[in-house]
Amino acid sequence: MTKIINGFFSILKYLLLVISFILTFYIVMFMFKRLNKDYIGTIEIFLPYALLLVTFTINLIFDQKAVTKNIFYNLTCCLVLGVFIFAGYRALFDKYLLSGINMGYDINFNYYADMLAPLKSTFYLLIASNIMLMFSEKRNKKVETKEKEA
Amino acid sequence: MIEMFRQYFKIIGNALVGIAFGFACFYILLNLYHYSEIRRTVSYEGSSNTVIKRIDNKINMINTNVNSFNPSGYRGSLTYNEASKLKNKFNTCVKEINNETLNEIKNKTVVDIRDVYNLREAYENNVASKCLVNEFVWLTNLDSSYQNQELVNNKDLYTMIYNDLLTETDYVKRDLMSNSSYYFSTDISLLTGKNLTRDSFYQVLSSYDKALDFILQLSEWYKDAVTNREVVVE
Repeated sequence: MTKIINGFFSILKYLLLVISFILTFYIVMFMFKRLNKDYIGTIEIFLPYALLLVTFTINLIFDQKAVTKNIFYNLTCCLVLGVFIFAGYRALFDKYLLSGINMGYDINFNYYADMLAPLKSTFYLLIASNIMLMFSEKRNKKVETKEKEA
Repeated sequence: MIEMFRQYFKIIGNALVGIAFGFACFYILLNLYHYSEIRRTVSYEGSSNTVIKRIDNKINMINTNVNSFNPSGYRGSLTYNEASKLKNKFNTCVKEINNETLNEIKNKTVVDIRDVYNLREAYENNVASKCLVNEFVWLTNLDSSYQNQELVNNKDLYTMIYNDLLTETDYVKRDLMSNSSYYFSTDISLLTGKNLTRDSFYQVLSSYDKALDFILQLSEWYKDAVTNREVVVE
């Protein structure tokens, strides 16, 4: 049962990563264009996505079970990405957030900017924990091979 | 030694995941709470509400005063053209104050924050711009040689009221625009303290009421002027 749930969250996190990146990309690029800001500033917003994607790719390539079989980690990734998607949905479609209507952009930048900062910090926490769990993995494999040889 | 560090990495890694989990849960709950909070509605009695009734009465009184101008056999203290022009101004103002948005609100019994926003926008666009600025800005620029001394004598008072009415709903607008920021309220604080939807709604309605007070006062003067009942102070 745990394996099935873990497998589900493991696949879901990739899907949610793609969806949340698309939403964030659309909102941030529109926001920067509208405000005539330099696009260089978007690097620090998309950097956590890139780092998370790199760590997920490393987990897949090297089959790091400490991360891929960690149901708590996969669940937390899905939760964090889900919050990002919910925030993006509200910034785009929640008509009760009045500042978006007032400005005429149809996107509530104030709300999204409020949410972006703390959620980026959770991304960095996920990246850091991924790296930590990666380092905790290696020794177990060596112990297993040594035991097999014995 | 290395094994000890690996165990530490595992503990720290899981601890960081736990912190991220806590953050994510907090922001989900915050968003869900905020989502339901900004959808709070206010029940009110529609067209039988006290303020709405007062607004309707004042509109009727203004119409009565303005219709006292009788073009046939006119003998008021204002010139015929002036009286006719002022009548049009009053009619335009009444039409802008009694706008479509206000009439929609009168037919409702439940009001949400978007209705309050629309009502406030209607105040700014219709009442402040089309009525006060377009039709009555001349009151603030009266020359001392203007034919009607009562208006000239009260010019400062009218200017002060006029300027207040133009910026009457600015504070409400700022409050409404900041509703995308989180605010935590309880049922008790909503009843006894601030309820954004309810308080903004009644503030905007009272702004309409104040604007009508101003127009009504002017219409009283107009009625006296066109029926030649003005008191001449020498």
